[in-house]
Amino acid sequence: MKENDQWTALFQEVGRHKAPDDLELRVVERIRERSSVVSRTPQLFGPRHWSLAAILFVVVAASGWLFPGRMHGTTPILRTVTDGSWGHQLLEVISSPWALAGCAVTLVLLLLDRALSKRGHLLIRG
Amino acid sequence: MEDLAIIALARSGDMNAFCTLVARYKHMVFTVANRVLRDQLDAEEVTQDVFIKIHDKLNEFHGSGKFSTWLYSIAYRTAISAVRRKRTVAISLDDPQVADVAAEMSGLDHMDRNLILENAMATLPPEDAAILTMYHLEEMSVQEIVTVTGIGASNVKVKLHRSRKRLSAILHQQLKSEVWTLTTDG
Repeated sequence: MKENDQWTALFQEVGRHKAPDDLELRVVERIRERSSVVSRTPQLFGPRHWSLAAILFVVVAASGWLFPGRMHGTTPILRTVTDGSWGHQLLEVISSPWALAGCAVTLVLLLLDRALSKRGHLLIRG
Repeated sequence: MEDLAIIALARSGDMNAFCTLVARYKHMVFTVANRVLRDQLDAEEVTQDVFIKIHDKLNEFHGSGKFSTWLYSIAYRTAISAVRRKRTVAISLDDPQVADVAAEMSGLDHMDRNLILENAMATLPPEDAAILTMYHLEEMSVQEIVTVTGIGASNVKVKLHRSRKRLSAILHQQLKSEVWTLTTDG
């Protein structure tokens, strides 16, 4: 018998340590507990927050459209309607820094919310 | 049923299949955890952690290698992390606790080989005890141990040689009356 084999024989004779009989149940229980904890975690942005954010966005966009002069010096909306250039004015408002920043922030929040909810879903699946 | 078939079922959410996997490998994982941590309760905790990780990462196992090697890799790393958190200090040969173990063993009428080996193993650094277990108990190749531990092949061989030498010294010390033919070479 080779020297290495002698060691192997000794280790084989001693064998593995016996894990508890109910280990499977404990593992499954922990997985289920963890899943329920994750599923109870409240959303970062609830419906109220989203409603408030939407209202703020509308207010900012509306004020930018109605009072564009305060933001980037364009002509007030009432005059643009009368002189027929409101279509051009609308494009300017949409492309204003305020509107773009508002859209960007909304997009970031949406992506963050989506990422967090996806992460939570993965944890639930575990 | 083959591992891959059980894994496929477990991936689809079949908890019974996952329990079958746990039942099949729990002793293997528990052994390495216990050899590294030297504490029954901690080893049980780590074994559970390992299988929860396995459950989470089951989709990452593509079947290119052996499932047991992949599982062992997670078990080894989890156990080593746990022992580092505990900051367990490896006991040296000159440590008084080893002398206590030897004294306790010499008082026994019948030498319990298992107990002696376990006590001797407990004097090794956790990493070395795990590597010896992988090599001699699980009969893993040096290359598989390299995959599991991330340690280089030459280093694994050095650790095996050094651990056997150390074990041999302790076993000789404890079993003076018994003829040990085990050597440290190989």
